Amino acid sequence: MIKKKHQPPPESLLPLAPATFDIMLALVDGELHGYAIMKEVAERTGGSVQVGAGTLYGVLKRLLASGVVEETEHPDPESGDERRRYYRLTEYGIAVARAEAARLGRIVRDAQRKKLVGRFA
Amino acid sequence: MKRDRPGRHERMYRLLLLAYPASFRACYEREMLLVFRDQQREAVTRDLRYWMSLVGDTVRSAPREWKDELIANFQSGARPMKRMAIAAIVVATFELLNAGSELQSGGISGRDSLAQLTLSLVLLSTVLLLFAGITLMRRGQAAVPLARIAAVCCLASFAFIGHSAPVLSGLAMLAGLGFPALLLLYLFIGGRGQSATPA
Repeated sequence: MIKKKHQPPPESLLPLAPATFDIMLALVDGELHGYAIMKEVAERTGGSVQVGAGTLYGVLKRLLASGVVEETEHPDPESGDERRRYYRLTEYGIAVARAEAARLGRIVRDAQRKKLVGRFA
Repeated sequence: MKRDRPGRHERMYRLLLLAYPASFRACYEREMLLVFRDQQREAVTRDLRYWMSLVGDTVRSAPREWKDELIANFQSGARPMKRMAIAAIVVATFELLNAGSELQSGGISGRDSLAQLTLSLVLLSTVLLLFAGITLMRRGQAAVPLARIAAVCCLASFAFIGHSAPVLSGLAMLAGLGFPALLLLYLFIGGRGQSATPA
């Protein structure tokens, strides 16, 4: 069981590095192992963002330390025989992701007001 | 299920993983190898671009892990601090002995005012370094500020000596300038490791 510790307000962790937010976005839909996170990021961004294993596990290490992500270990349902670590966002992690999305949303709205970009559908 | 002996590509990847600190590898090496094997199954590891991106990722991410390791050691472990303390005492003792031998051999003439100033500066900075070493060893509350003051004094003194009265040996100058710079860098990096940002 994961021990709850005092956590700073989600906004205090912002701004997140782009790779960090991409990894957190990959985990919004549920738990994933490392390679699945890398593939989700690459697919979602059309291959424009490729997270390497060193970057991924460095970010996950820091997200685990700050209580944004938690990990479990169980066999991969696809390969079946190898136990893998799966990562998922905690409630605190979801709050941090929401805060970052809101922050980015404000920036995009400012850019739209200044006619730098058009309105997104 | 027993795994086959790792292939050439996996052995190359294992070598690349040595760029990360041991504590990071202990935690994530197996997971990173599993990712590599997944990629191998998809046959991307034969591509030169893949290896270039692996090297690029390592070059970008490994220094961050080393920095984290250094900060964690500084904050939690007494070992690196103790090493710095011992080094400060050794450097200070060496500088004192070297100044004494220069005085005895006539390299520093006791009558020359510039030489006397040099001697005083060496004495002052080495005594400060000695105190800093002893307080760092005992992890007293004044250890870090005293070590900073000692390092700055030592740097300034040896820079002055090197510029105005180059009477000390090259090794003494190197130790007198190099060690305080290293100590300041160590204290600076340790002091910066307070951020809660996971980025």
